[in-house]
Amino acid sequence: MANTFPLELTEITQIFGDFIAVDEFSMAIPEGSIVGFLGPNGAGKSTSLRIALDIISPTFGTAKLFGGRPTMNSKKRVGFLPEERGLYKKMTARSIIAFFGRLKGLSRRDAYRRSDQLLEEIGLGDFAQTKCSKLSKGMSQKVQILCTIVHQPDLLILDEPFSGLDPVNQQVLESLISHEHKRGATIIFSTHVMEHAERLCDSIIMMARGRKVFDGSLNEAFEVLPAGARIAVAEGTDFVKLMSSTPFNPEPVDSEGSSTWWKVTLPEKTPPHEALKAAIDAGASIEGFSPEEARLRDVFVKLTNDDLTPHLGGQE
Amino acid sequence: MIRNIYLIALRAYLSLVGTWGFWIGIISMPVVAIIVFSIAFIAESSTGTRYYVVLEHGKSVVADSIYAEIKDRKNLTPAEQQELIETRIKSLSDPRASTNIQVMENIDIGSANFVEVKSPVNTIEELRPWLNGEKKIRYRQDDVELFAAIVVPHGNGPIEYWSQNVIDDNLAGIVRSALYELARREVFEEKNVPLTVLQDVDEVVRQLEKRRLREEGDEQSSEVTFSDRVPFIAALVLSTLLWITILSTVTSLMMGTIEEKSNRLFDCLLTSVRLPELLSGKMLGVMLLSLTIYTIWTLLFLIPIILGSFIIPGQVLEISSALSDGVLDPALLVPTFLCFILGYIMYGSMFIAVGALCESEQDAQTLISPIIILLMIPLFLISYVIDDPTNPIVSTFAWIPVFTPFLLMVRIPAEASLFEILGQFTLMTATSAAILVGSMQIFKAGAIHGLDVSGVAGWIKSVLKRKR
Repeated sequence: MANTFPLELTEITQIFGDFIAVDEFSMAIPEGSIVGFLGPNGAGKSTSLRIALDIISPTFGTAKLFGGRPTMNSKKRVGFLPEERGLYKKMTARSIIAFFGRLKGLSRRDAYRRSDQLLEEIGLGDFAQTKCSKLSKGMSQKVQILCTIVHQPDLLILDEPFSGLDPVNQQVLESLISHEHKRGATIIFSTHVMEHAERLCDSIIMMARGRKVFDGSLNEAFEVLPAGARIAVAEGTDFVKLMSSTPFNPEPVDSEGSSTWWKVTLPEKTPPHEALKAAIDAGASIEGFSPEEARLRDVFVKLTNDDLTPHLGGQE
Repeated sequence: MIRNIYLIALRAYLSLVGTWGFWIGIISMPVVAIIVFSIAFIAESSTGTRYYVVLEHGKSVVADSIYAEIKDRKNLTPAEQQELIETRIKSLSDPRASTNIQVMENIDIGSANFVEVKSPVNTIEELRPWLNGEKKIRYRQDDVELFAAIVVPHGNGPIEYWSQNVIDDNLAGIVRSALYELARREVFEEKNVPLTVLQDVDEVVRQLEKRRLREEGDEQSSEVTFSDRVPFIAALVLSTLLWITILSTVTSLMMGTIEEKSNRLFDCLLTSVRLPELLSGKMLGVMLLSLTIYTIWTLLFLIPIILGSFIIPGQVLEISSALSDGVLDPALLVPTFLCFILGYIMYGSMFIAVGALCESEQDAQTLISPIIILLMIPLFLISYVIDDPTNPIVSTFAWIPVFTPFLLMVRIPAEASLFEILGQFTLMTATSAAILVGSMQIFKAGAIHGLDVSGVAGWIKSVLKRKR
C-alpha cells in the first residue's frame, strides 16, 4: 500500500521583508507516524507549521493537508497547539475545551461530554468550573492541550508542547501523545528537549536557518555522528603513541586519581569493544572503559552548528 | 459558516455579558443620569435669596420699576396680574410714592429670589466692603450678603450694575427690562398720554400662538405642543445613546482582539474558522452586547412609565409617554437601527484594527486617541441641533461618513430631504465597507503576521508596492 501523507510541504519559501524565514523547505509526514521537528530558535519551525495549516501563505511552494490544499474541512481534522499559548481568561476550563471542540464540529453535547472526560483523565476534574485566569501555568497548558485533542484529530501538530511544563507534567504529556498515537493520530511536534524526541519519535526532521538539515529515522540520525568510547589508562602512559598503529585516534579528556581518560573516535560501523581490544593489544594498562553511544543532543548540536549541507536520511 | 460565526459571536457575547463590570456599567448609566439631573435640579432650586441695593438720589423711580419688573416676571394668576398693574399705575401716577423696603415681600423668579434692601451708605465707593463680602448688610433680623448694587447717576448717563458675580445675569436682565419699561412710561408722560393707556395696551396685547402645518387630513390642531418637539428630543436621545453605546462596546472589541493576539489564540481559531468568519463573529457578538444594553435601557425607561403611572406625577408621565412614543416611532427607529449597524461596523472595524496592532492596553491607548477625538466632533455638533435642527454646519458635517451615524439621526426630524437621507446612507455604507476591508487587511497583518505599530509604515509601503 502506498504511503499517505497527512501533511506535506513542498519547497516552501517564506520571505518576510528582506528576511528569508524558510528556504525551500520540504517535508512529508507519513500517516500514523510520530515525527520530531527539531531546530534551534529562529530556525523556521513555527513558520513552517503555520504555513502547513494555511494560517500564513508561503511566498513560494505548496502545502498539502491530507493530500489536498488545506481547506476548512481538512483543517478540522487537525489539532494545533501553537508555541505561544494562552486561553480566554474569563472562560472556565470545561467551557473553553468544549468551545474549541464545537468549532471543530462537535455537537454541544459531545463537546461538553468530551471536555469532562478529558479533564477527568488528566486529573483536572476538580477544576472544570475554574476560570482559566485562576489556573496555574501548568494547568493552563494542560487545558490548552486538551483543547487541541478534544475532537480526536487525525493529525496533531504540537509546537513546543513540553516548554514550561515541570518533569511530572512532561511525563503526563508524553503519555497523552503516546495515547493519541495509539488511537491512530499522526503527530508532529517541535521540541528542544531531545529526550522527548528520542523516546517518542519514529523519525525526526531538523531545521537550521530556514533550511532542512536532516530528515530520517532516529537510527539514521545517530549515524550522523561517529560512535566513540572512553578508555582510562595509567597516568603517564603515552597512549597516543601506543595507539598510533591502530585506526583509533585518542584524545585526553579527563584525569581521575592515577588514571587518565581518553576519548576514542570509532570509524564507521566499528563497535566500541574493538577500540578496547586494540588498546590491550597495544600494551596499554587499562584502568577503565566506557562505550559512548551517540545521543540526539549531539546530533542536534552538530547538525545545527554545521554548515548547511543537508544530511538526509531515508526520506530523501 | 453560519455555525462558526454563531459560535464565535456567542463566546464573545457571553464573555462580556457574564461580567459584573458589564452589569454595573448598564445600571450605572441611568443611575448616573438620575443623579446628574437631580443634582442640577437641586443646584438650581438651592440658589438662595439674593439681595441688592439701588443707589438713587431723590425719588426711587428706578428702584420701583425694578421691583415692578421682578413682580411682573413672577408666575401670577390673572387676578394677581391685574392687582400688579393697578399698583404700578398707582405708583407711577404718584411720583412721591416710594417702595417701602421693610415690607417688600420676597419675589420668586424661577428659582431665585431677589430682594431689595436699604443701602447703609450713599456711594459705590463706600459700599465696597459690602459688595466684596467683607461686611454683611442688615435685612429684617438677619445679616445678609449683598449680591449687587444698581447705581443711578444724575442726568441721562448709563445706569451702573455692580456685582462680583459676573456669571449670573438674571438681575441685570431684570434691570434692563425695568429701564425699558420706565423709559416707555416717561415718554408717555412727556407726550401727555394718560398712563392708563398702558393698562389698555397691556390688555390688548395679542397672544402669540406657535403653529405648524400638518399633513392634509391630519385632524390634530396646528398648535405647536410638546409632542411636536418630541421627535427632535427623541432623535437627540437616540443619537447620544448611539454614541455612548458605540464608544463603550467597540472598546470591548478592541480589548478582545488584544487578548487574542497576545495569547496567540488566533492561530488556534484560524485552524477552525476562516478570517471573515472570525471577524464577523466577533463583531456580531459585541453588537449583540450593544443591543442588550439598548434593550435594558429602554426597559428601564419604559417599565416605570407602564407600571408606575400611579406614583409618577401626571405631567412627568405625560412627557415620558410622549418621549417613548417618539423614540419608538418607526420613522426614527429604522434609520437609528441602520445608523447603529453601519456606525458600529465603521468604528468596530477601526478598533479591531487597532487591537490587532497592539500587544497591550497601553499600546492601544495611544492609537485610539485620534479615533476618540474624531468621535467627539459629532457629539459637539449634536449640541447645536438642540437650538437649531437645521443648522447648516450640522447638515454639512452629516455628509462626512464617519459623522453620519450620529448626525443623520438628528437631521431626520428636521425634515431632511430624501436625497440627503439616501445619499448619506449610501456614502456611509460605502465607507463602512471600505473601512471593513482595510481593517481586515490590517487585522491579518497584525494578528497573524505580528505587525505592530512601528511596522505600519513599512507594511503600507509593501502593500502599495505589491499592488503596483
